Amino acid sequence: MADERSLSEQGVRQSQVARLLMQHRSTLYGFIYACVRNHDDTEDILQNVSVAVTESIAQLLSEEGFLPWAREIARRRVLAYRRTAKREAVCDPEVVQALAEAADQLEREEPVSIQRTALMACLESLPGESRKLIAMRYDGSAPNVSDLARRFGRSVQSIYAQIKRIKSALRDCVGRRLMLEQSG
Amino acid sequence: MRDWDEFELLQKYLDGVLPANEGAALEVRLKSEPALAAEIVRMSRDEAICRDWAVANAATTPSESNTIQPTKPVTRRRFSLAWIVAASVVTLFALFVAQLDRASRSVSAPRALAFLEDIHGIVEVFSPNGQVRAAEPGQPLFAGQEVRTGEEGSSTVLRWQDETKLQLAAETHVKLPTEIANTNAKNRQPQVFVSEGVVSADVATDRSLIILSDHAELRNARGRISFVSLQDETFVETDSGFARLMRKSDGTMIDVHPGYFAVANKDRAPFRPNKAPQRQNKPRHSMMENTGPVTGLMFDPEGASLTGAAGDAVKRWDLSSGKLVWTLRPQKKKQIRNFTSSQDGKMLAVAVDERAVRVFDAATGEDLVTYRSNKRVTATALSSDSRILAVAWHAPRETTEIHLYDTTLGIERLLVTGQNSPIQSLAFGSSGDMLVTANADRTVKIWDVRVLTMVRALPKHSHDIRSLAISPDERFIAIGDRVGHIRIVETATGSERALLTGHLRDVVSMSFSPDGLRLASGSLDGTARIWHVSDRRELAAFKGHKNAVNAVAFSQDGRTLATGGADRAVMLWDVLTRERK
Repeated sequence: MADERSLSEQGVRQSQVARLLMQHRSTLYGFIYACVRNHDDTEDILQNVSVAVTESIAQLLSEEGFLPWAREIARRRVLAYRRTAKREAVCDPEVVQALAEAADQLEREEPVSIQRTALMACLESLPGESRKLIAMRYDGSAPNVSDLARRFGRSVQSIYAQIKRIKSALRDCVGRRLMLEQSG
Repeated sequence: MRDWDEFELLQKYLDGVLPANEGAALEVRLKSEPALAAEIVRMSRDEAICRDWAVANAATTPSESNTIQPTKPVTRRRFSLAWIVAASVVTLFALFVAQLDRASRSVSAPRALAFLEDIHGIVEVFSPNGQVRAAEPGQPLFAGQEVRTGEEGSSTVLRWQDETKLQLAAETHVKLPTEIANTNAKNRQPQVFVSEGVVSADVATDRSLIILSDHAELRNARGRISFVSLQDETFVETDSGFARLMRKSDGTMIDVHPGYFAVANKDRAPFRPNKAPQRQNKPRHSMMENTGPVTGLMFDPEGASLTGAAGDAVKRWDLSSGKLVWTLRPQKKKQIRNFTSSQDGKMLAVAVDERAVRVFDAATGEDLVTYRSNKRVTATALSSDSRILAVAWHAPRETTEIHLYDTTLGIERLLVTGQNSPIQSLAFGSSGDMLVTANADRTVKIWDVRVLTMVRALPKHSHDIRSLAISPDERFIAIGDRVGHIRIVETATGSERALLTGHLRDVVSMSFSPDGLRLASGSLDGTARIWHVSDRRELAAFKGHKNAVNAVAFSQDGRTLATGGADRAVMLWDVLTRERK
């Protein structure tokens, strides 16, 4: 009987972990990506973080503490990755620490959940050409700007200018949506 | 509010394409600037959301990536005797047909409808198959292709074979018609569709051009004509020659003769040519600056010389001889975006590398002092007596500060604005006690710099503010905005006294005449205009620049207006003696 209860509690815990990881995925991804600046590496590290979080979820006292706790795990994983990575692009520990603190502060002031909904809606409303550019940039078909420039037959500078314009439009769109939500 | 000028730097860092030394410098800043670290985390967070969106999209819709540059799979073929014989027969037949019908074959080959020339900034050519390429001088344009110019300073010219020319200003988008079968290109009337933006046509009087937009069709355009396609309306003005304009909503047709303009929109309002305020198309004097777009101008008090920022240089010209007095290069190979000068003509200041402001003696070009910060400079202003330099420093998510540097005593004072959004414009009143700030959040505030306190906050503006000017008697503030409006606001009460309309795009530079009766304005629509402030009317427009008018300055006697443009030209106009051409 005791074993059955334990298994049941374990199941609840696992679904709770899965939900929390899903809820904070963008935040954790954002922090890791800022440190390693590579989507594939970010996915790998996030996978490791998910495993570590699942294994040690018993240490977590409350859901409120999940994000700082998971981010600390992510910070350690980033540093561990840095020690073994062949790429030199990974930030040094002091920068990683600065980014972790900034991420904590940012999440308190601007929770990603609200931003996510608005940005998703704005991405959906992008006109054809801009939508194509952003989709290709992020869906893995043209992982960096040089690839994108080659695919579109344009200069890297021109692609940056275009992305800058699109992101500026997205920023305006997100701002408008958030303002509407606040007033409505 | 995000700092978009840092966007490119941070984006390149995230993309791993920033040079190593710049990346290292940025990482040093990340350790000491929490706001910058927050910005890069925010951008990374958005990257995650964009990635989720794109991946979800790719899963639900067929990828369009292959339509950009379709590549056919390479397949190995086995050569057989039959295949070689068949190929030979086909080749011989093709050669036979080619010999017989060379003329008809040449008709079906794509022909260039027009050519691109005079390319500045970002200009891109979009093909019907989805290809997008950076434009090149002399590039032929074919049926269905589109041309887009980028942000401020970008421009190009479309030239047809009959020498008809169409100048495209910044942020303009045009499309060539799709090919009409069996039409001899030589005899085809040039035609272009303007989706948005500002174009100027220059058509020989024995030729004609068709210009279309969502709201209007301009048939038989001859001479010099301005055509502005906006979201809700199309504006046409004839400088010389003739234009026949049709409003698409009801098919009404009118003729627009020189000196007249017309506006076509969806409304059924009276559609007729309106007499344009006085226009001047040829300046008294014009000079081209090879160093780059002109971004600031000032006359010396005697009116003997003119100083301005062009490209990466600051230059002083002797107006009697037209010769250069001196040239400074405060930041090599980087466009000067922030130039300010004192009304007494003694000093000028230039923002360099975004994190320093250098002050120069205007008469000699001598480097006087440099002020630095780890924040970014967003606006500068010098008091009329050259004594105080105000610099707005900004870092993302930090309170914007205005530092007031006493250029004679070396004292520095701090004016804390209490706002996070960057200050976009600063202007001193003539007394030197009043400072006006315009923020990116569309607020305008009046400050007393003696006691470092805010005197008045004006009602929030409905559009982004692009320029400020204060009348010499400090009674009025002129506020230029993104949609081409100028609001004249009374300093003492904050109430609006006049709304000046006429510009079709951002008003980016303004200057009051020394007597305070007139206001000059420069706009991205390529014109400079003079307004009578109390009568609230346009006195004249100057249409000589081929792109945005970034700088306007009155001479001390108020009789000459200097204008500087993104087209690299500096022009001098007679304000009192102008006559219609």
